[in-house]
Amino acid sequence: METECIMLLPSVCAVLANPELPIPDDTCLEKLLDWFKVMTCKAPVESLMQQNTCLTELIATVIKQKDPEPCMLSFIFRLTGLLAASVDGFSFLEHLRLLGEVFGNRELMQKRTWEDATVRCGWIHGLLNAVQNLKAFQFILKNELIEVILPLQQDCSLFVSSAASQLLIQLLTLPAQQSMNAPVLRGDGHSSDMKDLLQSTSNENHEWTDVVKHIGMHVEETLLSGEPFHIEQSLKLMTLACKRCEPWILQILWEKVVGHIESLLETHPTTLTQPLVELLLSVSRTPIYQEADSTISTLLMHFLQTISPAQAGSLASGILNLKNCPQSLGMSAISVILHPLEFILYSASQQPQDPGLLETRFYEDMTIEEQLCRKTSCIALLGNSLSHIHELLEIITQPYYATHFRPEAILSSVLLVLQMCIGAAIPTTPAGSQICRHLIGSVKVQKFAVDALGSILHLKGIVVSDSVHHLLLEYLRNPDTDSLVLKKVMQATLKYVLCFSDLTAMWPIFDKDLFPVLKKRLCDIRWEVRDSTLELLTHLTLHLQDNEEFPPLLLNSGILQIAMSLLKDHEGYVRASTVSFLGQAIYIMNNKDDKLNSNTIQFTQEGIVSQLVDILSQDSESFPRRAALRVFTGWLQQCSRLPIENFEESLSVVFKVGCSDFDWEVRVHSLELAEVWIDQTLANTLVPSCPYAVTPSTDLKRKSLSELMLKLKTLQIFDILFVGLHDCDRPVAQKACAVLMSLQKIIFEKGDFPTNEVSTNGHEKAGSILKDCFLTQNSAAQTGLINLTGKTVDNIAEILAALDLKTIQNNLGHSSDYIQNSPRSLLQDILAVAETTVDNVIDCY
Amino acid sequence: MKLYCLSGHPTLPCNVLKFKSTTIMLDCGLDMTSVLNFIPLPLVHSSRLSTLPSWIMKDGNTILEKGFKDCAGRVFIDSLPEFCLPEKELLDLSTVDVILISNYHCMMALPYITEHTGFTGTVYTTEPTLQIARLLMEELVHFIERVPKDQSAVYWKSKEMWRLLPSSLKDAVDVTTWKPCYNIQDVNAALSKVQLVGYSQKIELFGAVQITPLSSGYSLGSCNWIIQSHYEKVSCVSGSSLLTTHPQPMEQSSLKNSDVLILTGLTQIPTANPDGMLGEFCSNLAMTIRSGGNVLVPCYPSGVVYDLLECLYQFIDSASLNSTPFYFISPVANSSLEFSQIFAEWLCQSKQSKVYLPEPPFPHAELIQTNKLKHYSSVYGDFSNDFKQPCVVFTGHPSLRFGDVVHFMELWGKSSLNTIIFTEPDFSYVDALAPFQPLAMKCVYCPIDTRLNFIQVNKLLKELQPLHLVCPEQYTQPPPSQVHRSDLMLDVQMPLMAYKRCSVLTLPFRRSFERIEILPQLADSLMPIEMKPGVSVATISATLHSKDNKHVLQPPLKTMVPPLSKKRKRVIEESTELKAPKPLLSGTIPVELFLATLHKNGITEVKMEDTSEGHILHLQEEDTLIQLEDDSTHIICDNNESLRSTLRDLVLRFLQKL
Repeated sequence: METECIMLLPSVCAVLANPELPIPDDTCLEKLLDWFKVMTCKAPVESLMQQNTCLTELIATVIKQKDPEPCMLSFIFRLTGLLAASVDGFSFLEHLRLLGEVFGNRELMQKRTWEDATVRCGWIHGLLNAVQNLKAFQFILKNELIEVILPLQQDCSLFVSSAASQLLIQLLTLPAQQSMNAPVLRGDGHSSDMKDLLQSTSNENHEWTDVVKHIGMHVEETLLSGEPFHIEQSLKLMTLACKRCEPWILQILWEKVVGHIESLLETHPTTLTQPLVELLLSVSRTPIYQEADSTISTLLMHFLQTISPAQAGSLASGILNLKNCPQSLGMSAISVILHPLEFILYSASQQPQDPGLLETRFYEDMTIEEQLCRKTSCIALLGNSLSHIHELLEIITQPYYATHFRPEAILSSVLLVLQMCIGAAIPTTPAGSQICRHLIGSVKVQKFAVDALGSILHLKGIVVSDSVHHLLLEYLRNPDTDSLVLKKVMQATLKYVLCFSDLTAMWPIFDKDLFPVLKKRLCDIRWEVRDSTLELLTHLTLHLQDNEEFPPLLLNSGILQIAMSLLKDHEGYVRASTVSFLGQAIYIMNNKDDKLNSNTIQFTQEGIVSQLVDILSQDSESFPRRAALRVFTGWLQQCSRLPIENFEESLSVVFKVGCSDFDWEVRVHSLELAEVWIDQTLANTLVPSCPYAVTPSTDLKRKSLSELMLKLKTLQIFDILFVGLHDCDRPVAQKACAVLMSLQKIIFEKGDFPTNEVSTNGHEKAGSILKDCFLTQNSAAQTGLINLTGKTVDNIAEILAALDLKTIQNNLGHSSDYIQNSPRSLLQDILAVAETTVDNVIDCY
Repeated sequence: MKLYCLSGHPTLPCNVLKFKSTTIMLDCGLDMTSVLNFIPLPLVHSSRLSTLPSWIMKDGNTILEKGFKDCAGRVFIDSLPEFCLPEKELLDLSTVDVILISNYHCMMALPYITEHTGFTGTVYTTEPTLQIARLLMEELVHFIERVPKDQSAVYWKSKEMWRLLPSSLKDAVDVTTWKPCYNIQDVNAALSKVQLVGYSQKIELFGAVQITPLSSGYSLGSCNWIIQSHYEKVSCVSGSSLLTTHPQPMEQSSLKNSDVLILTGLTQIPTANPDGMLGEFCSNLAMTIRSGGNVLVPCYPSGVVYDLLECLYQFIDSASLNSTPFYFISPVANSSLEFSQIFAEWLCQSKQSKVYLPEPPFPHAELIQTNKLKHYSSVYGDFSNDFKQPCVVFTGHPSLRFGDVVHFMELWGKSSLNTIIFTEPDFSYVDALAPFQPLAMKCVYCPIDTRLNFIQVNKLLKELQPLHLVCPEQYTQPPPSQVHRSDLMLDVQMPLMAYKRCSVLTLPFRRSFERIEILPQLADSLMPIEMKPGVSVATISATLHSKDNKHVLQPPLKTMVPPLSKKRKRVIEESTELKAPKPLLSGTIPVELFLATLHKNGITEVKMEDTSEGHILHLQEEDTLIQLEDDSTHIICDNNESLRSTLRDLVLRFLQKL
């Protein structure tokens, strides 16, 4: 602990112990506890308490107060728990008889304060903190605190009951954690040493098994109580036990409750469905679930049959994710999920003898029909089915299931749902007509269905029919398509296009259908739609850039003309997406030996650079400016065929404008651009492209480096790096530092630049220039420049060599609020609040 | 109560309601779709249209050659356009007492109804409806009269020619009823019969019924009507909207508890959501302009165009269309744009509140001020000087058969850069474009119809709960082009009566009650007797006086001194009868007590039998039956008057006399 903190702590404890003074807010107390937790981990707790007696005094004072504030009492409970977590700390507190007073104080539990949930919660959390060692375990048993904890597990406050459940689980698992003779589970799920354990004469084991039995009885009683809330808490406790307890303990508990669970499955109220589902799924993931023992499988199957189709979705999904799930159970779970879609397929089937989705149906058709004919349950049920398609696809492509399910049939049903949603499907049954009425215009179902469609299209080897692109186009054209649905449709369209290895058949669709509708969507009244369209076009351009047919199609579609006008769109996001799209599109137009549009200056890189510079210097929002810089960076990264020299003039403006931007991300992007420029220039001048090439001579290297330095100076990259090093935003400074470090490395380590040539006064110069930078940071921020004019390349090299970048990097590694967040400032804050209030009180008189 | 249906067009209705001795016409819409069969009227000579080949029948018959032109396989009548009028033969229109107009689109046949038919009644509508209808009629007359057409097809309507007509005309409603457009004198005369009303104003018609217009939310001044007497209520819902556009919102609560609800004027394009269409309109417009093309929007001079301009006002900036000129061309363009700004009290709340700022309620004022929107009476004159391309032109007529729009079709039709955007839902765009084929310009169909759709109307009817519903037959089945869409029809629980053109419906409710007033002095003389708590009864003798559909009970005629003449004697006899009416009896006879009374009076052998209506007592010794029922008692005994009297008196002991 820092000395200053040691000095401040007694005063803070005095403030906290003084009931006259207002209590610091909860956040302060929480931070204080966090700090104590760190402290208890770093140093022996006993010595900590010995050195800071104020802590134990604080505990003793508050616990003896007649009517302590609930939050303060809660704090004391948790603090005591933290200090008692280690054996030495526990012994120390026990020696002071504080533990009994804090946790074993029955009188306190009779007081009104106890009625406050904060206090009960603090007490439980305190014990939870403390029960990290066996002494604490013994303490609980000795003081019969388990009798207090068990009722709290049924507490009306969910925080209290949840914490009590955690504590009970901790009690069940602690002895095993403490390396007692924990029995090992045999393959049949039974403990080989369980009998030995139960018969063991060891005191600890007896006590432990008693605790297990006690808790088991408690769960059993509450399950029989008939109170849904109590039952729910016990089910949650069991679920938690499944996740954390040793298998043999779980076995004892499970054997006690399984009968009751079985009867609950029959008669449970709907509020208990979800907790029961969670418990059954949790127990299925433990070692006691064995293939040989079919009890749990039977329970799962039984429950699947008992609950309504609308509630069965999560259970079916959980079953499918089980390891070693019996195939019959898996088939049933799949059937539960797919049955609504099967019914939809059947309700609009022109030929009833068509093969459907399922060989056997889990429910009676009547049951599903009844659900689908009611609007709310129809949408919920279909939403449920469709949302599970993604995970279902992974399962039904496994060898066993693949013979029973065809992804193409699922695709047909999803397409049918989507057709129904826009009134394009023709139902053949009265139920189908009713379902159509519910689905027309349902955005919720559309979202799920388009997501499902996307997942299916992503499937390898899926055979897609023309109906897919017809439907996608219909959604793209439909003026009523919701903007979010449209976004998903566009994502699905991309997946659809990527399904084809040979796009020959797709080009006419691009030309006649897709591009015209995308053109219209680029002019959509909703900015979200314009943005999504630009995103789709960007992705298409990225993925299809190597297809020779794509660039001319794009150029002749008229999309680029409209996109150019979107550079002036009102919405910043749209301008940003337009910049990204045009950057990519124009790159692929020009990255050919035979440029497509040599006559159209508008669509050459040279033509658009001025527009991007305008955006960078004039756009009022940061997104388009960031996008413009990313385009330049992207171009430079991909510039295998584009000469960098073409852009050097513009780049100096870009660096200058970008680095003086108000937005720190724009400044970071500017530095990234500088970094890429340096890398590319170096790659072109220094590094041999072929590993077997002749290594250039030292003189040549030096010459090249000098040229590089000169270019860097001319483009004022040094200026922006030095200014960036002192940027008020840490990420910018870090980036500048990283770039400078890599430059240092290249110039002085790899490049054999004569460091010894750095004159002795280099450090001074570096210091004075950086000082200048620092002092004139405001003006530098405005201009993005510092005054390096008149400095030679060697001068700059001297500065670079003299900079202690490692130290700077280390300093920048600290969080910017590390001073404000220190424990010292926390303690000072608590004191300051108390003092201010005292002054106020005096003022009042 | 009867309903005569003179129009089969669901959104341009013309029904006549006979109700309590009044004859009320509900709307008089003019079906203009007939003009699609005619050749367009170009403003300047069109060599293309004038050189279209004449139509020769398949069998080579040239009898109709002169009157018909063939364009791309479609046949058009080469004559001035004619309109399909409401049926005039079903009912003598001179008997119509009043005409209630719901909105300006449903008023266009008014001159045909009020002029030259002997109509002497009154037309009721709101002020904006009158003014805008006047503009629409003036524009229509202007469009047709300014292009005189010398060659007219006349023979085609004669009976002998019917079977020879092209199929489109054979399928049309009886072409003999089609009439050329009215003239401006007829318009003025018809509109002079209009009496203006305000929303929720109550107007008495001949003391028989009360009519009330309620805001319908569809257009400026549009209304639904309630026609009610004291015990009956008929609601007429015609062209209503629940969307938030410029008019005052729809008043729904007053339409509740109707005996009959006559529902017309639902959206003509139920699959097109107006919001989506507005978006579609804007995106197509922007796309065309950005590609260097012009946009033509055929429209009426009032109505949706206000909303379009408002939407564009917001869109122009965001879509960077500031430099694009917007032209609004109509002989009544100026009046329409200015009228819209002065009817503040008929606008929605947000627009009303603007007036107090003070600001013009519609933003098109600002568009005009900043020169972004310019309006002209026609393409002649100033427009030709100011005209710059690419541009957006709003002009009529939406049928593309007359008006300045024909000129732009000829001008821009050949370039694929240009786009025509249909926003008015009244005409099939395919039919409208037919005489301009082959056409290179792009065509976009964005019908914006803000009237109720089926989801909205089904929900509305659930809330309004009328006892009976009357509607055009088109609303009772899905549209013919989408027979599988069962959601595009009415789905209601109450009994529904569908009508078509020339139907006469007997509305299924009987009048059971009539309100009668009692004069104060007569009321004073009543002596009510309390029959049970809260219910008092009194007998009354009075003279019923009926005049102007009002009924009043007056004190009875006083007894006069008997005169000598025979005639007077009869009057005295009648008045004597009036003076001593038979007493009215009330109460119930407690059977046990009645039996005890019989016993006291020596009738001991009584056998009682319970029936569904009451009891039958068999007096065995006397061989007499007494039937005691809820509302009658019968004593059946043969030839024993004294016993009957005794029994009657015993019965009367248990009853109260009034």
